[in-house]
Amino acid sequence: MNRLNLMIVLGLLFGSIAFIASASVQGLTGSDDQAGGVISGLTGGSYHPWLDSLWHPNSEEERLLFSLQAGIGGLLLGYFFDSVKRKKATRE
Amino acid sequence: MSKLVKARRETLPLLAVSGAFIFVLSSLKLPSVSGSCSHPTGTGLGSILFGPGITSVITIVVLVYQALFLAHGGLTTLGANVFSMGIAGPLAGYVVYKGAMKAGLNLYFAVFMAAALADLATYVVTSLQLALAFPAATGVLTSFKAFMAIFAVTQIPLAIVEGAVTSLMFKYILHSRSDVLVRLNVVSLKAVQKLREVSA
Repeated sequence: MNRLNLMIVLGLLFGSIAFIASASVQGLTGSDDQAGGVISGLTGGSYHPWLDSLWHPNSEEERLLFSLQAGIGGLLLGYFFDSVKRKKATRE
Repeated sequence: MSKLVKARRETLPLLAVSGAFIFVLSSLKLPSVSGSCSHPTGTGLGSILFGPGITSVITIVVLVYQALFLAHGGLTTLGANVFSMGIAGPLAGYVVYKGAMKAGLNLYFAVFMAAALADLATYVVTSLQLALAFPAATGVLTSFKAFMAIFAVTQIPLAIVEGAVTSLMFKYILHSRSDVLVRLNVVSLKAVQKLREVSA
């Protein structure tokens, strides 16, 4: 398998893993959300961020964007594994 | 970073794998105990291989992506997130790794501890930042305990997993590119020879 193919395969693989992982935790409360609950408790619900994000992804979009992030990581891993393979081939 | 890559071209794949670890692990939302979920950080490997400075730069790229596209933290809290995940975590990992190596501990155990504690340190600092921003009527310590109660319970199992995965990857790197690790002063030549003798 050449470098580009390996990078694409690992990109897709890790993207899929991240997608499945975020689907498997649906219904669980994220620790960030729990911390938000503590902030509400401490401030009596009076805290509001002074600036809000212009765009909030919905849960589907969030899953896809996390998958894209993992996919980028997979591409980098593909580059690493290919360089190791090439080094081994040079030594032999 | 570019200076390092120009001077030692062979470090580029290791830089790629350090970046890959942060990109992949920090994207994974994993279930933990008590019905909660969270993300590992993935900064341990980079801090062991390149130190906290270069790891901070890679982490900033990931945090900017999450702030812009995922509304995770956002741009106004980017500084706080960079400090906890990009500076404090990798610094803790680096200190733990160097300390464990000086103490003569097992190499893979040192990597495990460094990666797990880099993850935990990130969330301890996050708890401290939140406690300082939202002090309870009875003081900052009360808030700190409240935030730590959430993050510690969720993060400890994930930190253990992160430590184990990082150790496995480090073992692979050591077996395939030990020459670069020696040149980067991550491990000594003596330690590599000793490990080869043991596995032979």
